[in-house]
Amino acid sequence: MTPEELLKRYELAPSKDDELIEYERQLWQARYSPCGRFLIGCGYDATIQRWDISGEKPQLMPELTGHNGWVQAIGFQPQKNRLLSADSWGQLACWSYAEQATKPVWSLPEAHPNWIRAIAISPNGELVATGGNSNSVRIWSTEDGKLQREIPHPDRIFSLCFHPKGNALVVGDLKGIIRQWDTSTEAGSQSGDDAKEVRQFDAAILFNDEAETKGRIQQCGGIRHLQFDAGGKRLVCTGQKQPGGGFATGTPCAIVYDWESGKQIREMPMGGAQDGFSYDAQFHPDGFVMATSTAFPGKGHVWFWRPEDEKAFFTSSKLPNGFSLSLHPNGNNVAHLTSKSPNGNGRALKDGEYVGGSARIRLLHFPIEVDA
Amino acid sequence: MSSTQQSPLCKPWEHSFSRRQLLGATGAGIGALGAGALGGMLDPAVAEELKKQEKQVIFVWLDGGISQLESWDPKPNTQFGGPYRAIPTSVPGIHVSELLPQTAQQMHHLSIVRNLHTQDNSHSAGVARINRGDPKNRGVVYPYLGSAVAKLMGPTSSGLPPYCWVKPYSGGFKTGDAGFLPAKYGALAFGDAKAPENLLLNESVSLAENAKRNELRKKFNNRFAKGRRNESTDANSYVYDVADTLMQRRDLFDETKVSDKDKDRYGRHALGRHMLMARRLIEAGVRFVKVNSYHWDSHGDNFNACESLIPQFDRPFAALLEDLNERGMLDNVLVIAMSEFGRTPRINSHVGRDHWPEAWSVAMGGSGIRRGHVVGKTNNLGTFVDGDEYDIGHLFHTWFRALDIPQKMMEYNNDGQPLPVANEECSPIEELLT
Amino acid sequence: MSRSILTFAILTFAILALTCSVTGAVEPLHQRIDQLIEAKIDGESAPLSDDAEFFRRLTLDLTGRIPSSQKTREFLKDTSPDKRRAAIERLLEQPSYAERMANLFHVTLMERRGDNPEWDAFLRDCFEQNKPWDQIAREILKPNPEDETLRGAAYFYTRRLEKVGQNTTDYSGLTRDVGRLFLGVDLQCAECHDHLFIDDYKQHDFQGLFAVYKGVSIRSGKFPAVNEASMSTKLDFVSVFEEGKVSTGPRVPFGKEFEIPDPPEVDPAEKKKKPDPNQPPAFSALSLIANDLTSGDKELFRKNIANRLWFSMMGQGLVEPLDQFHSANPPSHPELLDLLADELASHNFDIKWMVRELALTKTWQRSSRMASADKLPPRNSYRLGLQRRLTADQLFASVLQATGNLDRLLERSKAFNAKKDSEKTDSENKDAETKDAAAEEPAVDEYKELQALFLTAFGSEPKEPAIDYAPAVKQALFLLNDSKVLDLLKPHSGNLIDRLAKMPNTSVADELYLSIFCRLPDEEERAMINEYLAETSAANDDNENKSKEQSAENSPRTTALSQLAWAMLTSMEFCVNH
Repeated sequence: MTPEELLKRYELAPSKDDELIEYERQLWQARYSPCGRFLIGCGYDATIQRWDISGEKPQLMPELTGHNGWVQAIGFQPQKNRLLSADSWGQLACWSYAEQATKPVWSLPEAHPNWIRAIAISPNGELVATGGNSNSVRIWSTEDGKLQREIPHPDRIFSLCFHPKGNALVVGDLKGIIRQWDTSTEAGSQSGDDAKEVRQFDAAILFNDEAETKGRIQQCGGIRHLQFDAGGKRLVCTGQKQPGGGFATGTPCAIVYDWESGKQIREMPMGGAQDGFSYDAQFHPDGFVMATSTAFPGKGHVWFWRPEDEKAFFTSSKLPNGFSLSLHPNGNNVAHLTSKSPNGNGRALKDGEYVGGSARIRLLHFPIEVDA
Repeated sequence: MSSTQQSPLCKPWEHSFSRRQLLGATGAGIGALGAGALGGMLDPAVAEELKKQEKQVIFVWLDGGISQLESWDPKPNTQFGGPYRAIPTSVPGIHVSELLPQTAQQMHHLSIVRNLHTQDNSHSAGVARINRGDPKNRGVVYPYLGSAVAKLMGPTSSGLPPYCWVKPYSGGFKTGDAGFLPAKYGALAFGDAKAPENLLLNESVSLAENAKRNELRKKFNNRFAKGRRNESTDANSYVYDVADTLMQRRDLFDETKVSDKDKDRYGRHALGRHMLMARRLIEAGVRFVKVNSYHWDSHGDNFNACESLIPQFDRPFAALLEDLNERGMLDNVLVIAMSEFGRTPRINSHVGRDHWPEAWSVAMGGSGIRRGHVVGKTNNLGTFVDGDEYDIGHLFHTWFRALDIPQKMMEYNNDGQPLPVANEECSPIEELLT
Repeated sequence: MSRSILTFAILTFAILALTCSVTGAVEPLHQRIDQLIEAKIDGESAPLSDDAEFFRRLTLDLTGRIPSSQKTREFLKDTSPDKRRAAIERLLEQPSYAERMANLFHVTLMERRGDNPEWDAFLRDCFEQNKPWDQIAREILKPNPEDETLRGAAYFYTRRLEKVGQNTTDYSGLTRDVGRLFLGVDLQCAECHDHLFIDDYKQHDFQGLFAVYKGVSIRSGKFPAVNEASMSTKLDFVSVFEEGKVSTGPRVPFGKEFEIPDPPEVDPAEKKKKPDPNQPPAFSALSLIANDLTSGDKELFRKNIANRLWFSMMGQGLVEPLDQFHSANPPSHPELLDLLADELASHNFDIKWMVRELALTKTWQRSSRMASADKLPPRNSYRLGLQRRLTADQLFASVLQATGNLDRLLERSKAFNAKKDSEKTDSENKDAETKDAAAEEPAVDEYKELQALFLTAFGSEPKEPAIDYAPAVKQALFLLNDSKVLDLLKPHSGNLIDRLAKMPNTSVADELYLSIFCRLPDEEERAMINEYLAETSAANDDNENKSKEQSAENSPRTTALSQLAWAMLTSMEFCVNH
């Protein structure tokens, strides 16, 4: 298809008729379940929110509690309709997300000593990998949470993804390095001794240690998300190009690699150097990357970009402050999660109340329906 | 009125008054002020007493606003609490953020004031105002704390300049801190803790020759001073004296004099090196050492910023407290760590926190300060102070008391105009003082 | 009396009367200045400076450096009754007068933000020609990129419009500086609201000028130049304290607001073309502002320059700080300020004329020393001449002059630059090379290097008004230990130490004092010097060569001479204009 045709087919335009789900606290992700019946959100208030979207209107289900701090990472295990979640205090939990029950199937309160930032479930559903501030990836059985192995890393881990074929795990860190690990050895060894680092992908542009250039003392950046396409031929990562400290501004960016050669195919920056991060990107079955970014209120974009092309075929600044963009299994619906949080120094009370941020999920759909 | 950061109309420099700007009404030039402000100070007996005790100050300034919620006053698992946990400290009942693990072990040397509520939510106004103690508007620019202490207490018997500043970027004599006080009460800054240029006696000049030529210089100055205004001569002599003292103490800048172990304990990063330098300067007898760290203003990606920045403070600050204690110096050295304000409980859409003067914290310890104590509190959400509030003026009074400067005798004499040293509507925080 | 004599007398009287009424027959300005100063004096005043004091101060103020010992000797020996006036006239005609004034205005207007050869050339030309100040101001405020001799003036704008790091262009800073430097008002705190405690400064005063500068941008090219967008709409602004939007067209602070004309009709074909930013705008608000600000009816414009010229000579402004003109900050001598401002304006803003008049006043010539120094009079009474620290540029030039290295280093600088230029044509140089071999071709421009070191050590911080010359530790360390500084006090052909080393002890004191302090020593001082030198030679009696004419670089006597010279150079008497 030509870019014009793609645009016609996939252009997302917010409208006042869109279904909006409002939630009183900020969320990190809002994802459609693989079965397509649910929209699951996780975020700042340590709960997991579920909406049943199989009916006319989204129905809020009982929230899943037990976590602490932030729940930043969730993943689905479709084989048993399970949801794996991890929080910033180090707890990993497994839930049956489709049932009313709000207690986990199992949980490990001290899966990690500190913030778990990323989670990935193996394609066969047997393993869940977690990583974060303890600089090591731990791989667990999804059935009972038993530790299978541990792979140490030199820096904080921000993102994880299993290859669809199941034999590789990619790990994105703070410093813009993506490491590929061979996971085809027998699950069962606890240590990382036989974990083989196969290769690295260079996304150093998504990291900045500004001591040299600006005398700043902050390390900024990180590979905030990693995702393969369905066939495992391509890998996309996200972050912020040439991040700057303080306000943490830089150009939101997604980068696409060819899996076989390991080479970078396309760098996809979107926005200005005063923007923020792209926290989410994924591949549409038609091969283009769908990405979203957020910065200060009202800033950020959604953009769709085919790696073959020199530029995005769709860009919208009308969908700002995007933290996640979830494509429904039916291929038609897209849930765009935004943060509604004013910025500003000082008191700024509203009717005498100090107002915090909240979340809004906009349920969009592509203009032309596709067959699921 | 709500303000937004980076308003195109308002930039930081606009709110930083220099002495010049506010002198208009008094009509007096700098010289006149200089002459006046040298007079009318402490009772000589008190001055002597102070000198004997040799109280000193280390003032750590984290410019930009360290987040109190990610440091001294964590509120885990609340609406605005963020991702981190609180950890216990060496003082039962006191918790700090998990980002301060090493300082937590030194809490028994510290106190935290959690009920600070100040007036400015911009750097431009806030930094200067906090550093000057926000006295009531007297039409003069008040000195920074370091200049005030340099004036009120003078140098220690070491003879080293009373106010030194260890900072990134440039060094040199920074007179801006002195406010209306004579320029000599400014800060002698060491850029990146490095020796000032030309510190070594030129190889073509022997020690004897150096002594001789300075003796001659003084002779010429004495002759010139007859029948003339003197404040310039005094200031001129002063800088040569300081230069001389520094030349004799060039060992302070000699890296080989510090053990690798210490360098590692403090950390090899800038703030680590600078705090180690501060310790050396205090050990050498500098009255007041300020250490600055910049870029703490985490409006975006606050939490990753805190993870990157706070350890750079935690490690050397804990090492400093440990070392001072070990050397028996904590009774005489006042240690303060602060910023110009805290950060908003509300997390913005750039996952950052903005400026928050409404309720924030300052940590301090050492000379005259109670150990292991928390003053005041914020509400459960950490949004506002619950109960009594303090402003920076209270802290200034408290610090002057902690340094044993008698309240009644503390006054500046600005060319005949008496001025209180701190906001007279504030008073010391008694529960903080031993 | 015969009739013809009477007629003659009447005619003469009539002519005189006519002449008087035409010329006004008022006293010269310098006398009126003194009268107004003396009218407010209540108490004892210092006497006039003696000849040495006068001549040093004059040479510093008019040519930017101390006089040489030879010139001082000549002046002291001169017995003509009007020698002071003659000296003033003579120095005003020196090329160094124009250099000094160019430097003064460079530091005042650019505040050590940077240097630019076109700007330097522009300023030098202004003072070589003695251009009227209002013309200079107009040439700066509305630079002319077409004229090679004038275009450098744009540096005032371009340097301030340059972006620093990630910051946006500082239009506010530029607006503020125009107000400060050309009108004597610092509107910094009137950008976001009416000034909080200076009632005269309103937000409108800032914004009206700001509106103009928002349309100005740097034009890229090899010389400083700006572009101006055609101003088509008023600028909206809000106060952070008050409700409601206000708008303004271009306006000089406290002046009248100009109408913005409707933009001219643009041919639709033209509209499609990309606008050429280098083209002058259809409506130039900048031209309006430049003319209005410098016009005769702008009281602040003439008062500002009068005040600044007064400050540069007297060491204190009639209004202090120099950029705080407002009704709650009255001048110390209001009538005097009015007089200076009005006279300067009616004399076509002739700076040289004003400098001459100021130098002729008793006020300026008053000594900075009083016999009875129990209670020194207030600075702004002018009963006592004010001490002013030498500027960094004056200090540099004076150190070189005093140590007798100025000519030598200037020549070497010339040689270096000539060598650089002619290096492009190698073959021609071969003869020159053999000639210069003996003269030791300089490998670097030592003059420029030393100048840079002095400016780093003594120059005020960038963007700081160059009025507070606070002594600093780095200055002391520089003079104590810098090798290049100390080298000036080693004997080099013809410099001070070299000359002194060749002199008998009895001549040393006079030459030292005349060279460095620009005066003769008194008896006590002579004795001190002689005693010191005698001590030195006594301490080296075992040296077989007792000849005092030896000029070995490391001889104890040479060292002693260097010590003396160094101590004098670093003492207050040298560093201060008194």
